[in-house]
Amino acid sequence: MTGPDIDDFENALNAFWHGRPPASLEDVMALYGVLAVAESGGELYGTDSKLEPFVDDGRLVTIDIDLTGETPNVSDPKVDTLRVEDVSKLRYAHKSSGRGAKYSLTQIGSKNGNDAEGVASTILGRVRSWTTQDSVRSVTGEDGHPDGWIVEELAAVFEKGSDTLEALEEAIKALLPPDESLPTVITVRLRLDAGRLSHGEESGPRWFWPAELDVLEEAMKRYATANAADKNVESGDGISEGESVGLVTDRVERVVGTPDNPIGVFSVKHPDAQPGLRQDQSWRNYPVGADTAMLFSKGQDLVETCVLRRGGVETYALPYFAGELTPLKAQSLYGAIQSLDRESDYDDSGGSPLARVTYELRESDDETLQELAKTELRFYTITLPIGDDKNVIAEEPAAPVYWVSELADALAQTVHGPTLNPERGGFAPYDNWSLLELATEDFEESRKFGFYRIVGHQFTDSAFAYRGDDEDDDFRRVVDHRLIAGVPLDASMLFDEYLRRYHDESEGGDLPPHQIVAQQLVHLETLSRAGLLNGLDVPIEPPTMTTETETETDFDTTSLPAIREHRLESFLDRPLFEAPARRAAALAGVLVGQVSWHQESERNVGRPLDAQTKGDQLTKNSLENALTSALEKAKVYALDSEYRSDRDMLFPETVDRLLETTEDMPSAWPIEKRELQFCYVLGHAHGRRSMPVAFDLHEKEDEDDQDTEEPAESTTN
Amino acid sequence: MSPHIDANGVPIDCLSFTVRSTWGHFKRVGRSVTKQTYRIPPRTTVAGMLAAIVGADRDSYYDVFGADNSAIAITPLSDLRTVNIPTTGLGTDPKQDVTETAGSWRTYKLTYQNTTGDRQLHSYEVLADPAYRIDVALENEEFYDSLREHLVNGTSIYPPSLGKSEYLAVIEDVEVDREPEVQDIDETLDIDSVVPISLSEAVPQGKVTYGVERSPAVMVRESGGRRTTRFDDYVYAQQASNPVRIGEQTDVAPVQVGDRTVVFR
Repeated sequence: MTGPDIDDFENALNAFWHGRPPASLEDVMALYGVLAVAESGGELYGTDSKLEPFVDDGRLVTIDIDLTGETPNVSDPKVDTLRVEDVSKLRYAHKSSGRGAKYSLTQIGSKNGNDAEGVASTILGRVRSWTTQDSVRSVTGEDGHPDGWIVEELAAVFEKGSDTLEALEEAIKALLPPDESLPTVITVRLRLDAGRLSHGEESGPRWFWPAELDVLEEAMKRYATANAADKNVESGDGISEGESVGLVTDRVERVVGTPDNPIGVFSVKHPDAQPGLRQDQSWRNYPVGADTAMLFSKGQDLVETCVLRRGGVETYALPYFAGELTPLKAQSLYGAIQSLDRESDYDDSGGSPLARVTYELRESDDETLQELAKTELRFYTITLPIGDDKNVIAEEPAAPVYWVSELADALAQTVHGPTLNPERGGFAPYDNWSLLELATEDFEESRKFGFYRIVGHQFTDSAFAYRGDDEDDDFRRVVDHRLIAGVPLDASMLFDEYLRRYHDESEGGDLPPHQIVAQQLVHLETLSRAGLLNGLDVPIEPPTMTTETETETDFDTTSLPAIREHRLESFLDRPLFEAPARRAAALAGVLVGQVSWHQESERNVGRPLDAQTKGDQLTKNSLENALTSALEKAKVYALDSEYRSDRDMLFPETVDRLLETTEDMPSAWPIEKRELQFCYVLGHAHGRRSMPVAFDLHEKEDEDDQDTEEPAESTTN
Repeated sequence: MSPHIDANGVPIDCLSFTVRSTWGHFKRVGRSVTKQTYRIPPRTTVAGMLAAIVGADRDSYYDVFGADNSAIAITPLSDLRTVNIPTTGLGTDPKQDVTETAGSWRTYKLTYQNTTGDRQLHSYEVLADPAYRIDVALENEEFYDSLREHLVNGTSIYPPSLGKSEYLAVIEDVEVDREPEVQDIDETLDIDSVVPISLSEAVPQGKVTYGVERSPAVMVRESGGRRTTRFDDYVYAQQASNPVRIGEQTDVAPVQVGDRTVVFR
């Protein structure tokens, strides 16, 4: 099977493309129609290429009807393998929408095959249904086709309940093996006196295939374009069409007012109908050329290839090039869209069309394509809820890949930086946490998979709150669109989302896994690095250092307190914690976390301090209580601790830094509630693991540095 | 005196004013099931707003805003930010939602809405705090003089609004007799207004995201109603502080109006 070649694209562009680069959804839908024209061999209506899956593997059932006598004479149908040379005779015209008869007299069944019963009922039923379509029948009436009588004869043969139809059903069931299910095409061959036909110069009777009959061509076209002007039109004479400047073509032409809309955002069937709404005048405001309307329908399958359905919403990401369209660009675009049809490794990891198309072009061997991906590639993205209740959650007509690339780069830097490096005071990589597991890849892979995560929803989903049924994922998808368009997010909104998620994860009263907070820090830091964070006076990312793993361990790994102190110092070494109030809130969190670990692990306290101090409900007052008791306990426990310190207090590194930072108690700290809470839960996540991580780093010394790399820890604490 | 507009679409002089509102909704053509807004008011919408100020009747003013005898430049002054606002509404379909039988007064039959029906939820995408600087020149003297007078006096016959009558607009900083000065493009030029070019003609700038739109620009009146005779593509920057940068080859005629560089269309 061969796809369309460059000439096919050139011909299709010449015949149907208006020349302007796309500037609207209509332009993109028309563009996809043009690609589909190239795909089907240059035709707007005929779709021979759709029969490719049937050729050699499928069968052709031919019904012969002799119309030369007084009454039609229907012979028993014949069956044969469908050969490539048959295709052009059948004049097949595909209809994408699935249900109902295809546009041509020739009908097909499922690509996966139909059994004898299915052929006799479903596919034959489609032939019958074709003859009953108003638009097909219109060739028999006024303003019809001179050979309309042929369609009339066909309608009589296939009339519901007629003897001929029933006989045909039986004959087909008898003809085909009952247990075999094969892709099947049914066509009708007619014996006519050529002299009776309005076209052609021959005379005398012979057999005609559908492709040879002008009237069938006309009926097919009428059927294919019927809906474009009269769908749901109930006012006036039931048709919305006129002569005007086409919205897509910029050319005066016959325009229609109810074109197919592959995404379903246009229809004249209003639930909120206005008094005096003239449906038959819709062409005045939405003038779509008749051919353009056909392009919309024709491109439907390609549009449908570019959708990601996940979590109750569907996001279309329709790629196009912002510049002048050339045959080469059209061909590459088509190739990239086709690549979405293939099985992919990334399907499970949010194989969004946006990411796959981008990487398909970026990783192409052709430098022209790589360059195009960099400069001209845009996506028309639009997100809707799945279901009948249409509304657009978010839309971005010219989404560049620039911001996603920036974010992906920032994400890769973040996960390879101190934030996910325990030795530098950070958290650790973890499998099965969509942002944390990125750290285990090499930098390029992190960047690529980061890109996939960002456009595949996981980047936002990993940090943001869940929503109830009313809102579903809407808000998070709006955020995704903002990021793609490079609109910065506000820090106060993020803190609120982070803490709401923290709450969502602590159902049942348990502390949420600390990975939640670690992912949120990665999230926040990534946004800050990419320049997409507003509303904070400082960047989140730690001061720039070489991203190379620093080999020197400039701290004493034989002493637990020294490890803890070094890690705390590194943890605090970020601009976020320069402001005393944020630093203090984080240190308070660290201390509560450390004391709680001590209570739980060393003293078997059933309800440690942090079980009573929920991060998402924290107030300055409740933090003051928690901090007071943490300080007391750090002293009391020091007396009988086995981790002897030269001080009269557990975790002196934390207490000292807290006292250096502020002498005020939390109720006097100048900080917003959500910001306080986020700094606290960050600190707590660090403090809770302060000792366990110190043990890990400590023990490593004795293992003779067998594996210098920190293995990904299991997700259980 | 009304301004002459040259072959490049540049007027001798023009009126400038700022129009702003808390919300705006310029419904896109091709969306009827859902309600999305253009980021920039279509040229035809600006025409309608100015006609409201002057008090011109519906369908009476399209020839005043024709392709050759009018020039409009639109400069966004606020970041183009949208929000989806759910609204609840009653249908107004006379067949379903309107009652006529509930009362009569002599020979009059009263038609009013049946307010007991279920409300329908419709989500509108609206612009938040939109503000635009409009530069306009019209060759129709009567219309132009009347418009100038209303703008200068701060009056209007019908209240101007941004796309829907409930989004009442405020008009401020009116300046008259502005004389646009033609600008040469020296390699590149930064344009404050939206620019009628395609996306690929805008010169990329780091950290600036361009948007593109296609909306109705010119209408004509005919016996059966009105129809659109021209649609414009134009490029804008998402952030109001960012201009659209164009290159030397770009086929537009930029002008300086005060401290802004704009392109009329």
